[in-house]
Amino acid sequence: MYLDILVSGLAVGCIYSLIAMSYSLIFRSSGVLNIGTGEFVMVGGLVGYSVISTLTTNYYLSIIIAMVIAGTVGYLANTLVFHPIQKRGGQDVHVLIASIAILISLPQIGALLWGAEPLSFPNNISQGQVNLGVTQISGMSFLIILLSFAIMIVFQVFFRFTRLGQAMRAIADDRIMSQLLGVNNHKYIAIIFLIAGGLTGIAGVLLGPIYYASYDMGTIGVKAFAAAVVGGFGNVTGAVIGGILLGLIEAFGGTMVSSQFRDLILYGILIAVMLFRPTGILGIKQRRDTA
Amino acid sequence: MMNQSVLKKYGTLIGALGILLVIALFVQSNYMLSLLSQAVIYTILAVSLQLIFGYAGQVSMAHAGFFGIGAYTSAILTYHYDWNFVLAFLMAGVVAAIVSLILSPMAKLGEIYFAMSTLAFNLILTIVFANGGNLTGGWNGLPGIPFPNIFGWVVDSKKEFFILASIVLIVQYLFMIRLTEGRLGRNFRAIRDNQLAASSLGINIGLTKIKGFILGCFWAGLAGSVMVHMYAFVSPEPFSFHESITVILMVVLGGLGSFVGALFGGFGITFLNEVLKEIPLYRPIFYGLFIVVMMIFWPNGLYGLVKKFQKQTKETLIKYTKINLSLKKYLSQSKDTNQTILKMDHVTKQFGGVVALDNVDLEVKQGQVFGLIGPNGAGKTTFINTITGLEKPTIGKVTFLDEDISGKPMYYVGAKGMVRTFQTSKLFNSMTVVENVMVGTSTILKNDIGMAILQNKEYHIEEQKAYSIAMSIVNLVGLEDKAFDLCANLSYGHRRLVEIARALASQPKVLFLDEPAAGLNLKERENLKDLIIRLRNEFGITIFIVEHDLNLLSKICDHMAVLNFGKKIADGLPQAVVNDPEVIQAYLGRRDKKHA
Repeated sequence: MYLDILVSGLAVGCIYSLIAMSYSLIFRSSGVLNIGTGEFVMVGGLVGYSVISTLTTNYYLSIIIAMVIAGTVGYLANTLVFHPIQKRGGQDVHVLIASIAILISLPQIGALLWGAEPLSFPNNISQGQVNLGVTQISGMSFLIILLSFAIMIVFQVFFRFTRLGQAMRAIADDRIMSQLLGVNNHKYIAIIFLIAGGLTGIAGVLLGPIYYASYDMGTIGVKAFAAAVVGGFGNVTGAVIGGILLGLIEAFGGTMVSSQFRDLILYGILIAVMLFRPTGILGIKQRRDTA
Repeated sequence: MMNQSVLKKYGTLIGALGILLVIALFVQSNYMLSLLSQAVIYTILAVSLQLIFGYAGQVSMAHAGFFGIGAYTSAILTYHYDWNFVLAFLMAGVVAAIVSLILSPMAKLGEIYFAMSTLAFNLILTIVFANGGNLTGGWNGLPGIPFPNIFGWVVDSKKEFFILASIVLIVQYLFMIRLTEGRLGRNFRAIRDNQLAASSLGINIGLTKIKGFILGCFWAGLAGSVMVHMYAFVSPEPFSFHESITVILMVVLGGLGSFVGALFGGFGITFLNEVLKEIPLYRPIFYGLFIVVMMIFWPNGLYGLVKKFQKQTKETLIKYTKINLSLKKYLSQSKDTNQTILKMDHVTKQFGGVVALDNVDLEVKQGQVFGLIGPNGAGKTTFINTITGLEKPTIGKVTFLDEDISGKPMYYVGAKGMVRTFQTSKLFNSMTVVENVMVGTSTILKNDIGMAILQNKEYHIEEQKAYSIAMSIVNLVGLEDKAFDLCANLSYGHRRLVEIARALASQPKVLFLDEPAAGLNLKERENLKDLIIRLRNEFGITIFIVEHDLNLLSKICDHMAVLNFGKKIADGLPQAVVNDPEVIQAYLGRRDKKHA
């Protein structure tokens, strides 16, 4: 019983981590808080559903296609919305308002294309069991945890050892200085939006089989933001820790309250963290060009 | 003159009043009246969000939530407990304001955190409204909320509701205009334009924003009360975060920082909603596109567009005539030149492994012009930041007039009389020169919410004094012909002077100037030199200058110190410091002295 809750909590937590990483990546590199990040998850979930119910039965292929499409949406959000505003001298508040526009319009586009009914992924994906010695755990949860950790490790390697990753870290640390040293900010920020969108797309396809896919699943973005601030907003490692922590808290806390109040747990945590410890657990490393 | 200024101030209000009156007299269709009442109620919401968002600079995504708190409070009190409408109406505002107090500590965080937390708060409220059992009626809502009875006036027709809502809107509009005219209004706009500069002048940013947030939520609560009684029904839908975004859209469309804009936004969006009613699915997509296009091309909304074409004339800005005040009396400081005004003991500041200041001791006497020089990266700006409360010293103590102020926040230090300028001047760009300088008087003035609403004699005397002082100081720094120009349009040299003038208006005991001569031409430098000498000789203000320009400093300083790699390497009279071999080596390099 407790093992089940632990595993499913960990799985959901991993999904929060992926989305929280997306928030942090974008915020660190371009200073944009994309309130609509959760809607990219919705894009991933719905695209994944369509792929798996019409094109192919291969779950991994649907993950990749959803990743690519959500990544493209992320890329377009930067190219069509955020970058033009910043280029024309818009301030943070204008960018923030524009991201609110994404938050209200994307779900409606989703509803027009996929309808308003929740869509269930085929059973064969979510029903498998994995034997772990004496007990069995859900195969889907196991897959989510495995995949998420793999992605996180790939990211760490990418940021530490590749030229592209290092350039991104440089931008995250000090945008103006990295520009002076010859890093093409605009290009890299565009790539970061692509990657961050892809991450949320994966999160959407992973989330689909545990719950369902629907146009209004984007509110998960608020919970993932809670994960990002618990870990320390803008801190990618913190995002991972925060996500897993909140996934577990929600899973165990959810057994104690009735289902309609379950969402209150994480929203409440977000507000409590903001009130009492806005720097989160790991703290925020101040960007050097904001001082 | 007086009549004209009244017309200017309340012109929109009188116009709106006229329109509302005409509507009340001639419109008979219940459909139109219902729609108009809805528009009025949403406009109340938009105007109250304008205070929170356009003035205090906080993106609240829970405004519909607070609207809902007011609505449910009023509904529950009248439906379950048979309260009188008037009391329930007031309680609706009070409860919304009290709940907003819970969130108010977040006001000091950045706008993105505030936006996201208020979004979460709105989601929480929806869950609470929908699961409140018999008290709130759950998703089905509470039908049959009684009609208001206001001291015998039973409001039960569409027309009467329209009149009631209009009265609330008019009172609110008057409230907001008065509230934002005096010191508090200037502080709001100052904070919105530049928080750092505002807090350097002694303005408590967190507290000021909290005032805006609570007052805005209070009015949202009142609007909620009017709405539930009009529909005689309450349910969670109108209070979801989507509706919060609709209100944000109203404010953004009208233009941030303009109550007239909020009026247009409120009415405009309500009618647009009605027009787009047939295609509810496309509506958010349309609004989303609309917001994005606006943010790219007209980020300041309708108000910004109008303002672009409207030439500001000087007369429209003058509310008071300048009276003669003794600037000498206002600015003068103690003449006791033996008193130590500022003292630093072993101040060390580390950033991670980097030691920016290393065990620095300094003593500044009353009435001195104190110069601090050093090569690039010597820690000069860090030094000012550490003294004035922007950074906390890692080790060491800063004493100002016998008070230990190390680690105190910037506004506290500013209010005590240590005021600074910045290396890149930080002005309130949407305000005029004289308004900028008036913001400086914030810690001297006393008028706040109460006095601003009443606008009693005391208030006018104070504001007139603030205006006169600001004008005198503008004259002092030689900007009298620019006094009514917007700061965004000023030249570089003038910007620096405005910053000094603004700092002077706060009656500084110590004035910190961070590289005041950087980027000035020769003539401007001469003027600056004369101004600094005048400030010391005439008013006895202690001045602490950080500069590169050794030439300028050695002419005006009474005392100089040199920093190099965070360490103090010399401290003494200018002549002695300039000739110190270690200083020459560190600061001037090994060149022959006469080229310096």
